[in-house]
Amino acid sequence: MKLFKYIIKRLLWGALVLLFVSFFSFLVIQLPPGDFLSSYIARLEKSGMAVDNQSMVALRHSYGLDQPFIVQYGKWFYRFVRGDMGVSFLYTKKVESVIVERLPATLLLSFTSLLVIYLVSIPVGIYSARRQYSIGDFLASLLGFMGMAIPGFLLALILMWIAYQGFGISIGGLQSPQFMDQPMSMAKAIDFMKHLPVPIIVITVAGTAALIRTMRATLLDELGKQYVTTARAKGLKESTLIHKYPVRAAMNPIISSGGWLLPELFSGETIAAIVLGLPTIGPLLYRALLGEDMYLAAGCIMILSILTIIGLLISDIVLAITDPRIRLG
Amino acid sequence: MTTENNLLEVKDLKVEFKLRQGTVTAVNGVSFQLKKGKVLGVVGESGSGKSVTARTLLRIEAPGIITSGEINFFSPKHGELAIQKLNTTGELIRSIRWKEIAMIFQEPMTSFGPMHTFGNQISEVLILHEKVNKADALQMVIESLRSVGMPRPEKVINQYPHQISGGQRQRAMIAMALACNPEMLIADEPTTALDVSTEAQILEVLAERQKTLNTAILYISHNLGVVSNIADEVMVMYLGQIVEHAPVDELFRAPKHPYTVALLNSIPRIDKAYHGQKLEVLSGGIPDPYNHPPGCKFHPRCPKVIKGVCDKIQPLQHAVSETWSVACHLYSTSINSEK
Repeated sequence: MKLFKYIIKRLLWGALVLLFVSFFSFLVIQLPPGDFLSSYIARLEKSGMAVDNQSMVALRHSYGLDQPFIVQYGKWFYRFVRGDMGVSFLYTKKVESVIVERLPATLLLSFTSLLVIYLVSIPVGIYSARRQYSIGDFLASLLGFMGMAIPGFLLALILMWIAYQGFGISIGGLQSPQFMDQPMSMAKAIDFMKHLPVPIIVITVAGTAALIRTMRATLLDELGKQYVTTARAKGLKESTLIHKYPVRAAMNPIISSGGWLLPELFSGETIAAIVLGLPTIGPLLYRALLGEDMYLAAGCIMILSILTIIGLLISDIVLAITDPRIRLG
Repeated sequence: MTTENNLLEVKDLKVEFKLRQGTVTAVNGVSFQLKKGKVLGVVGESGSGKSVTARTLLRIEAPGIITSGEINFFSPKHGELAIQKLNTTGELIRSIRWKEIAMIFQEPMTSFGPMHTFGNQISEVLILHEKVNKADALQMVIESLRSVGMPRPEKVINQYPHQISGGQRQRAMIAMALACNPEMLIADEPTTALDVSTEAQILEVLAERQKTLNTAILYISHNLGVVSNIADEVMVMYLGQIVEHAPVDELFRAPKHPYTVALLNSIPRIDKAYHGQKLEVLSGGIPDPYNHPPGCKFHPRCPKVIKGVCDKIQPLQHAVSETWSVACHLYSTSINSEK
């Protein structure tokens, strides 16, 4: 019951946060001089077409671009809460359909990446802490620091080169061109699985490296605590007691990291996604901002914000369930 | 001293810590015996090696290393065991831990894991050592908690360490330590972190359970007053060595070693204060652990130091009586006769 109340409260706060995010992102998107139409007309004029002032004013009026900022924002927000995100100038399609096309790939890549990060960093972190200063620990630390230091796009290029040279496969996007418009089949699924590892490695490497360091440091802290000695004095097996007591306590920062890890995965790997040609929301937002496609950009930002708020809420709920010391207020 | 009925015999035990700054000999040639059902008090300042000695008995001394000596434990189940030879993570020492030698720790705040209930953590030792099922173990935990005077034990088994007070946590610790009815209990400053009235209650519970269960206790404290309440014999440690070992009443009546005398004088007494006397304070501090003084380690702080003797020759244990020994040149017959 307490948990239920807490979730309701958090959702209400989340809605308030979204309101602020929408206002400021709309404001920031409009900050650069000009709008989509002026850059569109500039392009038309470059190619030799003359656009008279009158039709420009008419166009601007029909898109509502001549109205004051607050009116534009109000209209957009009013439509947004009713599920209408407006029209993308670049794609000349409804914003929601552009985003929905890319949402499955984005979610799939993000959640697989999150899973991979946890599955790798937790065991490696435990190993590193238990065998501090061993060769394995040094190796994990070395790889970890390299993973954190190498930029994602560089790693993407290197892996693409290796995949092409070594295995003769062209790793771009999430599927080979010949399957693009095919219905789902076994061959298509296998092709998809072949394309998955490189993006996953590129996206997860930095997060995994950071979480290994976190896990190692917190577990080392916990291992020195009195209750570990108590558990040892009780005659428990070393591996049993370490997994039951200190590892459990060291999981807290790992769980709470899930909240910021998820949005970072959604948007943080934009450059790598552009290099790899991944059909995710990151590159879409990038294009929208470059082309001053304000409704598309605002839509992308809102979707990423909603996912971030949900991610933080989930990690807080999990934390409240696993740690008895946390009280819901 | 007779060896019959001995539960534990420690002979010339040395434990070292090899640190980057140098080697610290935390326990330096300690020998003592603990008889079945008796309480042996261990007293000394911080850094005197009391806790390390205790931990070594359970082989949880790491990162310390036993460099020499013997620890013989007379296990009812396994017979005579050379504890110092056991693998610290092996099955044999793990079957001794808690089942035959249990331990109460100093910090009630941190000696229980924060993420598990008392019921979980205490029943764990019963499930592990007594091979009972979970439901029976929880019933036994409730009984055990009740026997140490824990109010509402049925509720406490579902509570977490942060939900009860330090005194109650230490009661839970005693209940856990005695749950498997061990032959021997090590109490490492169990009341140091508690206020005086809680301390008195905890001591009472411990003394009462000790009498009922006839458990031998190695009771470690820096407070001679506390030890005098519960112990049959006391040994006084200084810088990893035993300087005096005597029955508790005799030690209090006529302490021999100047260090023991100083410790006794530093206990605040109401009758002295009444007569306007100041509390006597032991001068100086514990020497650098990497660099112990030569000869008798207490000589730089000793009011009765004999120049040319105490700073050169390490005193041996001299028997004052059959049950009383002291490591001090003042009581050495050979040196006294030379004078």
